[in-house]
Amino acid sequence: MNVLIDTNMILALIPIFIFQLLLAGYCIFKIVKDGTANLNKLAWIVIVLFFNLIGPIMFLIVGRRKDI
Amino acid sequence: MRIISVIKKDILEGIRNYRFLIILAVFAFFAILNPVMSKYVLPELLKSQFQGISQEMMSAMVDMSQTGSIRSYLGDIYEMGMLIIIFVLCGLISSELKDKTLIMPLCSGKSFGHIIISKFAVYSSVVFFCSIFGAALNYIYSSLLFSSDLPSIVPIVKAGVLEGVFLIFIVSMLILIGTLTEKPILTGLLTLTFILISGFLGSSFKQQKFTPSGLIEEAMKLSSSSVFNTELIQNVAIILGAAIIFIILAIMRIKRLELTNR
Amino acid sequence: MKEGHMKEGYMIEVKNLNKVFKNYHALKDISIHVNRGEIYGFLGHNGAGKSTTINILTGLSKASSGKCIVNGIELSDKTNPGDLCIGYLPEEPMFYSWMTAKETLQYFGENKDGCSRKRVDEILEWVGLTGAAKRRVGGFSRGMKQRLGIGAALINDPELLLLDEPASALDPEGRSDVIKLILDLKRRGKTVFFSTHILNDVERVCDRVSILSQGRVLFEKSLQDLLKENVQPVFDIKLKERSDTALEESIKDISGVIKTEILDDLLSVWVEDTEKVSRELLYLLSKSSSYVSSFSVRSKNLEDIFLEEVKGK
Repeated sequence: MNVLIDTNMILALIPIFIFQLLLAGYCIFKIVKDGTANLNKLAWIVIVLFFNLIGPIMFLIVGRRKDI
Repeated sequence: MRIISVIKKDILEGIRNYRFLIILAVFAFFAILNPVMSKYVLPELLKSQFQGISQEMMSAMVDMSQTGSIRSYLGDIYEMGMLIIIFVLCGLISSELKDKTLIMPLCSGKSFGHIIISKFAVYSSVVFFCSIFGAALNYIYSSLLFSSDLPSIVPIVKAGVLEGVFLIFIVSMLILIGTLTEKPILTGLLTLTFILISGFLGSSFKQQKFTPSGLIEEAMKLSSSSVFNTELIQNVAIILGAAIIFIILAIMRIKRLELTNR
Repeated sequence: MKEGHMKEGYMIEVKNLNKVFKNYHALKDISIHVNRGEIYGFLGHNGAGKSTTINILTGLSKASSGKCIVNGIELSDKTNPGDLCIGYLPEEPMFYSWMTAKETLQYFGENKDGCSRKRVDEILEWVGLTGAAKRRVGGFSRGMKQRLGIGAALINDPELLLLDEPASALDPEGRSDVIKLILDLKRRGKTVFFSTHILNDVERVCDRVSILSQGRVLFEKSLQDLLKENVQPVFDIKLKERSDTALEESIKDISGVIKTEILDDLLSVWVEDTEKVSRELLYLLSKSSSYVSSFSVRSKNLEDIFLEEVKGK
C-alpha cells in the first residue's frame, strides 16, 4: 500500500487531520473532566477516537453528562 | 418584542447543547474531506482494486475534476449530512413535549406561536448559512487541489442555497412531526422516510420540481446559466411554501395538545 | 394597591366541571370558588383529581364540560396559558437542564416589560437559591428544583398562584419555609390556591378548604367553621393516678354531665354544653388531690375529618 503515501496527499490531509484532532481532543477533555452518560469513559474515548466525525457527534448528543 | 427572549433562549440552547457546533462541523468536515478523497484516495483505491486499469476507464468511473469533487460533496451532504442533521435536531420540539419543559415557560407568559416560530427561525438560519458556508469552503479547497474548471463561484453558491432550502424544509418537517408524535427518534425516522419516499416517487414520475430532493438534483447540476429559470423558482417556492404551511400546522397542533402527564 | 384588588367577583369560579379521559371519568361536576386574597386548600388523596383540576385551571388541559373563570377570564379551547397572568407550580416542575437557575428565572420573567436583574436576585434570595444561582439546573436535587419552581411561579408577580403539592417534595425545613412563603404572599394581597395531601400544612395556613375524593367535591368550607363544627362535647382529662373514683363520682354530680369514662389514666367526660360545664369542672379538679397533667376539649383534627368524609362516601 505504499503507493498511497504521497507528500501532496499528506499536505492536503493536514486540515482534516487538525479538524479531527480538535474535535476529538475537546470531546476527550470533556469525558475526562465531566464524566459520561450511557457508556463508561473508556468506551466513549474509543468511540471518539476511532469513528471519524460520527464518534464525537454521538458523544456530544448522547454521551455527555447533562446533570452537572 | 416578546419573541426576542425566546430566540435568545433558542440560540443559547443551540450553543450549550452543541447543536450549532455539530451542524457546522458536518459541513466543514465533508467540504474538506471530499476534494482529498476524490483527488488522492479514490484513484489509488481503484488502482489497487483493478490492476492495470486505464486512465480513461478510471475517469469514466469517477469524475476526477473539481466539478466532480463538488458534486460528490453535495451528494455527501444529501446523504450523510441530512442523516446527521436529522439525528441532531429530531428532538427539537418532540423532546420538549416529552420532557414537559414547555409547561413552565407557557404559564409564565410565552406563547405557542413564538416558541415554534423562534425554533424554526433559529435553526433554519443555521442550516441555511452553514450550507452556503460549506459549499464555499468546498469550492475554495477544491480550487487548491484541482485545476479550476468552473467559470465562477456562482453555481456553488447557488448549490449551497438550494441545499439550504432543502434543509430548511427538513427543519420544518421535524417540528411538525415532533408535535404530532412527541417522540424524538420516531420523528427522525418518519422525516427520513418521507424524504426518501418523496425522492423516489419524484424521480420515477419525473416530478422533481414538487419534491425536496429535486432541489438537491438541481444543485448537483452546478449550472451557472439558469439561476432564475421558472422551474427552479417554482420548486423553491413550493418547498418553502410547504415549510411555512408545516409551521402553521405545527402551531395549530401544539395549541390543541394537552401538555400534562395524563 | 394594584388593579387586581379592584376587580369584582371571585378569583376562581368553577361550575359543573367535568373531565373525561379516554375511558376514565376523572372529574365529576366540580363546583368551587376562591375569593380574592385568600389561601385555599385543595385536599384529596393521590389520584383524586387535584392535579387534573389545577391543569384545567392553568389552561394547559381542556375541560370536557363546565365553566371555569380564572382571574376574570373564562377558559375556552383557545385560552393560552400565558394570558391568565397566573403563577403555576406543577407537581414536578421540569426545567431546561442546560440553563442556570438565574437564566431560568430571567427567561420566565422576560415578558412584555422585560425582567430586571434585581427582581431575579430578589426571588433567588427569597427561595434560598442565591448560592446556586450560577449552577446548571440539570444538577439540582428534587428539593432545589421545587424551590426554583416556586421562584418561577412568583417571578412575574402574579395575583393568583396555583401550587400543585408545593411542599410534598421538601424536607421538614423546606416545608416550613414554603408555609411561611404562602403566608407572606397572603400578606401581600395575593390569592393562593394549593393542593396537598399533607393536612398539617393546611391547618396552619388555609382560609378555606375543599375535599376532593374520586373526582367529586365532598364539601367546601372555611377552615374555622369546619373545625368548630367538629368540636365534640367531651373533656379529656389526663390524670397522674390510674383511677380516682371519688373524683369521677363528684364530676358525675355536676348538672349537664351525661356520662364519664375511665380508660387507663384518661378520664373522659361527656357533657351537654362544653362552655357551661368547664368552670365547674375546673373548680372540682383544682380541689381534688389528683395531679392533672392535661385538660382539653376533644375535637377532631382535619385528618380525622378528612378520613371520615372520604370513607363515608
